[in-house]
Amino acid sequence: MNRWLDWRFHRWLALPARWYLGGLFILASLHKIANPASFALDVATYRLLPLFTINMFALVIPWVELLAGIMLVLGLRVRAAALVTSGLMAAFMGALGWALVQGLEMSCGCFASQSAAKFDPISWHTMLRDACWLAIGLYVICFDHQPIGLESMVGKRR
Amino acid sequence: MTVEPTTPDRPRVSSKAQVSSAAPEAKHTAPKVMRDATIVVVAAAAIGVVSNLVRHKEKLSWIQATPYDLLVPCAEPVGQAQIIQASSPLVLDRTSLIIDARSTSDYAQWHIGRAINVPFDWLGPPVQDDVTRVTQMITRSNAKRVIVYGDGDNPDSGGEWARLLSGGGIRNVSFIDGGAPALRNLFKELHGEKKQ
Repeated sequence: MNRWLDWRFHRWLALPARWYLGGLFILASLHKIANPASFALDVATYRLLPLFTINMFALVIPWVELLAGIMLVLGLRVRAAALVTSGLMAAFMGALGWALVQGLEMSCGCFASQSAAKFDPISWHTMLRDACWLAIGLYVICFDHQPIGLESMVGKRR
Repeated sequence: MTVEPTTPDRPRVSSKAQVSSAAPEAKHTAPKVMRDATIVVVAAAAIGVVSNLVRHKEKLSWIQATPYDLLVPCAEPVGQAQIIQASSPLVLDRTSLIIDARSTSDYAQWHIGRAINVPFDWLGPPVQDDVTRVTQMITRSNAKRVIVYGDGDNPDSGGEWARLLSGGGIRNVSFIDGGAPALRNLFKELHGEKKQ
C-alpha cells in the first residue's frame, strides 16, 4: 500500500487531473462572480439554506471556487485546494440529491443560472458527473504528495 | 585493508533524507492541509466581501430581506389531456365546453363565441383555487367534454390548463394544438374575421 502511495508517477497523473478540476472550478465561478444576484436565486431555488444565509453564501462560494481552482492549476498548496474543491463538491452533491428527491425541475446552477433549466436540468447523471469530479479531487488529496507546479519550482530554486 | 562500513547503509540513509527534503508536504500532512484549506476559504470569503463592497452594478445585500420568487414549477396535481387539432368537429360541438386560457386583453381582441375566459397566469399565485372553481363550473355545465385553447406558445397555457383540470378530476379534457392562432387562422379561412 505504501509503495502504491509513494509511487512517483502519481504527480504526473495528478497534473492533468488538477488542471481539469481547477479549470472546471474557475469556469464555474466566473458567471457566479459576474452575476451574484442570479447565483443567489439559484441557491434559493434549492430551498436548503435559511433566507438570511443565502446572499452571504452566494457572495463567498464563487470566490472559494475561483481561488481553489487557480491554486490547483498553478500547483500552489495543491492538497489544500483539492480538499476545498472536494468539500464543495460533496456539499453540491448533497444539495443536488435533495433537490432530486424533492422532484424539483431546475438547473444545477453550476455553470449557468436557472434560465438554463430547460437545457441542463438536474438528473442522476448530474450526480454521477459530480461524483467523478469528487473522485478526482480525492485522488489529488490522497496521492499527489509532491505536486508539480509553481510551489515545487520555487522550492527547487531555493 | 580499508573497510567501508557506511557503504551498505548509504542508500537507505540518503533515501530517507530525500523524502524529508523533497516531500515536505508528506510530513504531518493532515493538519497542515486542513490549515491551508481554512486559509483558502477565509481568504476567499474576504475577497468576496470586499468585491461586493466595491461593486457598482448588481450589488447584493448581505442579508436578503424578502423571500426570493422562485420560478421552479411546484408539484401540482396534473393529469393527462388529449391534444386535438383546431379543425376538429368537437370544437363546434354544442356539448363541448370551450375555455380560453389567454389573458383578458387577448380574449377581448378575439375569441370563439362560446368560449369562457379563464386566464392562466404562469407567474401568478398557485392556481389550486382557480382549478377548484373551474371544475365546479364545468360540473354544473353538464358538458360532455372540455376543450381548452391558449396562446399556442411553447409551453402552451391551454395545454397547462387542460392538464390541471384533468388533475382536478375532470375527464375528457383536450387542448387545441397551436392554440388561439391555429383556431383564428382556421376561422379566417372559413368565415373571415367575424367572431364565431
